[in-house]
Amino acid sequence: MAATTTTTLTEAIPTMVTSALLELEERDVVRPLVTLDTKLLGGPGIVSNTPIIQKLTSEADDSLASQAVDSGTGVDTSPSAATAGVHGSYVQLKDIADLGSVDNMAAVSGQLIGQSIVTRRDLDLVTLFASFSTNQGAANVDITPGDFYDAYGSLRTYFAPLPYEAVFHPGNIWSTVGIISLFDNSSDAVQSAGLGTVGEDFARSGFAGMVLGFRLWADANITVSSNNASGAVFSRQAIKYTPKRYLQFDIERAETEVATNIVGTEIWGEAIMRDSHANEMQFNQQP
Amino acid sequence: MEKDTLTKAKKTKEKEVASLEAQVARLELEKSELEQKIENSRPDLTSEEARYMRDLSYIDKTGRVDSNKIVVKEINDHTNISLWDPLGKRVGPLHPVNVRHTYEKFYKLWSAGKRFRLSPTRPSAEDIEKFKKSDEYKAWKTRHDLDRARKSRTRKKGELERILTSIAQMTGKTVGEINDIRKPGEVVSPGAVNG
Repeated sequence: MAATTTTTLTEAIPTMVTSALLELEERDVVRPLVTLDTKLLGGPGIVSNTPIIQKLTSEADDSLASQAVDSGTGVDTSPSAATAGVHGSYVQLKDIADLGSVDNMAAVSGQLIGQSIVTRRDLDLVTLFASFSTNQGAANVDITPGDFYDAYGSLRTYFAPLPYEAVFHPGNIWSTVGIISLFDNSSDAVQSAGLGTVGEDFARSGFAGMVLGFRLWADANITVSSNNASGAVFSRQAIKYTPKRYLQFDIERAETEVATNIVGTEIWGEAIMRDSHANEMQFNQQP
Repeated sequence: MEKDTLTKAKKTKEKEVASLEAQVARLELEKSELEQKIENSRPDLTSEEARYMRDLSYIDKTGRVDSNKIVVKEINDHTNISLWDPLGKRVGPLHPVNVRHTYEKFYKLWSAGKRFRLSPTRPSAEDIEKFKKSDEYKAWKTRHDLDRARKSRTRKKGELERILTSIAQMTGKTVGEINDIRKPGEVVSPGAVNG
């Protein structure tokens, strides 16, 4: 009997393909932390204005001067206007790709579209951070506890209601010059006499839910430029997110391309509402 | 008689040697001829391989198979744009309406001396270097350095040294006298004579 060669055996053994893994993306970190303005949903208009009215000053004598009910000035200008725009992605799924794949490529396409829209929304919100009036840091500067003290003081001075959120790029939290370095057990640490609660949390799990009065969040959608990134600390009313229409999928057959177009779109706007209720936190990520 | 026999034997041997040497020479010549033949009959692998690869590359470039590609395109009804500060820091990209609000806000802040004025065009490296020589930048740098020095103190670096210095001043001693932690081998019991 002729011996079977290795080459022949290899050809007879198929390559098995498992379900595909999708590239991971950061998701919806900031949207749940800001004001949800639903005025545009289900009605006309694409611009949502939020008027801000200046406060009155109570006088201490018996001859009162009339004061105008006036729009806010300074950094909290009135109105805060968010203009809704269309955001979406479309996939052209060719029949041959769909028929030849192990996975359900229509479902994969839907997942890719959904992920891209969620990431776009988060990006639209985090890019507002660099447009706040007050920046506690600057380029090529390491974060210190004093930045948190000043930021907390700034928010409290302008009556920002709790809770206060702190959103940073992961490199501003976990790096040799990041927030975690403030709580390690070195002589420079905030708690140098021994690990306190926050230090213990960082030492044990590498994370702390609250830091110096702020709820801490990591968001990798924040852009890093030359080892610097602009996170922010803010109260809920600092930013408003204004949806006009939630996620909608449309499927259209493209016969001439022998393909199916899958289109996912969502319509929203975003704007700064109370600038004084937020501080930009621009810091270095590594020495 | 014997002399003749010896001479004959010697001549025979010499003949044999000559014959063997001639045979070796012939074989060597044959070997080199065969090697030359092999060399001449073997094709030029370098140019053939190169041609093979070139042809495959052309086939891959010219022929197109899209069955393994899924096209994904992003849809927007607006174009986000960025603003830049004079040091090259980017603000954005933002929705055009937000860009306008931000530009106006930072203009007011710049007029009040609080922030840099923003621009819709990115500054070049020369623009940045030129700005760093301006009075506006120098004034900002002075304020910024003071601010960072104040905040850096909160990291408690050198705090122990500052406390020791102030204790030394209050007690009229030197820092070395009040902060003299000795190694185990240097510790002596009271009453012992110091070496």
